[in-house]
Amino acid sequence: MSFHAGDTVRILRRDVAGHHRVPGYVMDRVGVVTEVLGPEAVPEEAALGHAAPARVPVYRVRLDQTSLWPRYEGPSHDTLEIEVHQHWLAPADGPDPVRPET
Amino acid sequence: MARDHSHSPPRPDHPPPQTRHRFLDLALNELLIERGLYTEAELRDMIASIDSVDPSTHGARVVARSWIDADFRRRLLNDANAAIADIGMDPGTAQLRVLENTPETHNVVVCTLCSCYPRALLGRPPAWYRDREYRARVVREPRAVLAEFGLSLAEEQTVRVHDSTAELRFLVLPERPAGTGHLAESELAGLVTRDGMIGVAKR
Repeated sequence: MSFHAGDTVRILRRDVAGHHRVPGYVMDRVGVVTEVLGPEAVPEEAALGHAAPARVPVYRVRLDQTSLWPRYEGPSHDTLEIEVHQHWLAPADGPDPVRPET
Repeated sequence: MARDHSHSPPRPDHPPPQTRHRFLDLALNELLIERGLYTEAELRDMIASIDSVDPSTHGARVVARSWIDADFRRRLLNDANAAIADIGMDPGTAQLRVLENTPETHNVVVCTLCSCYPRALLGRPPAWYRDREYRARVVREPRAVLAEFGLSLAEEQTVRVHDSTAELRFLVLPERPAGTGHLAESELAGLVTRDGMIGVAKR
């Protein structure tokens, strides 16, 4: 599923045994897409040396610091921005495709 | 490299590898040289080329130009790679974004997963940029980390942390200091520091 600037998205907590580019602290967190990049190679495939890895859009996602860290010491307007490949994102208001029971 | 796989260190003063990853690194390097993908001389030249990038003559020049040339600044913020190539400099192979500091917003850059960094403009990242402490802390308590660097920001100013973990590389564009209207581009470049372009200093 693709997204646009302004969409609210959830960064998924996916179990990947090998290389990927999503740090744990943003998994299961919600942010807003600010920019669409790519398509770019899927890092999980590129890391294994695939000659023609799948390519997906990459989204810059802006998260509120206070939503990342419950005890964030700064003001509520502080943010963190990170790029996330499309298969790591879902609409924030929809079911979690990785853990649908939660 | 000799076929006997004696694993002699590449230079006499090079310590033997201490960890599994260093062994892997050395073994892979030996194999690539043995297969003729590159030579040891080419590897040394590549390292020398990386080491020749000086933030004060590369990134700082871009910042100073943007302070005196409004059109360049617009192009830099819109398409940094093209704008930097236009002035005859190498923006690097990755897509670059320039982050504009303003009275309202302060930007700071980290790579929590490794050490992604705009090397074509700033050279090799400093040791602290690669340290776990900076990488872990600047995303969760950026204001405290910036204060330790000597940069205290007002509550009204938004702190925007950019975790550079994927496709983009980031260069922070510091605010032009007041009272510098009379300075030439090269003098302005002298005011810009590496730390300012990472975002842990004012400029």
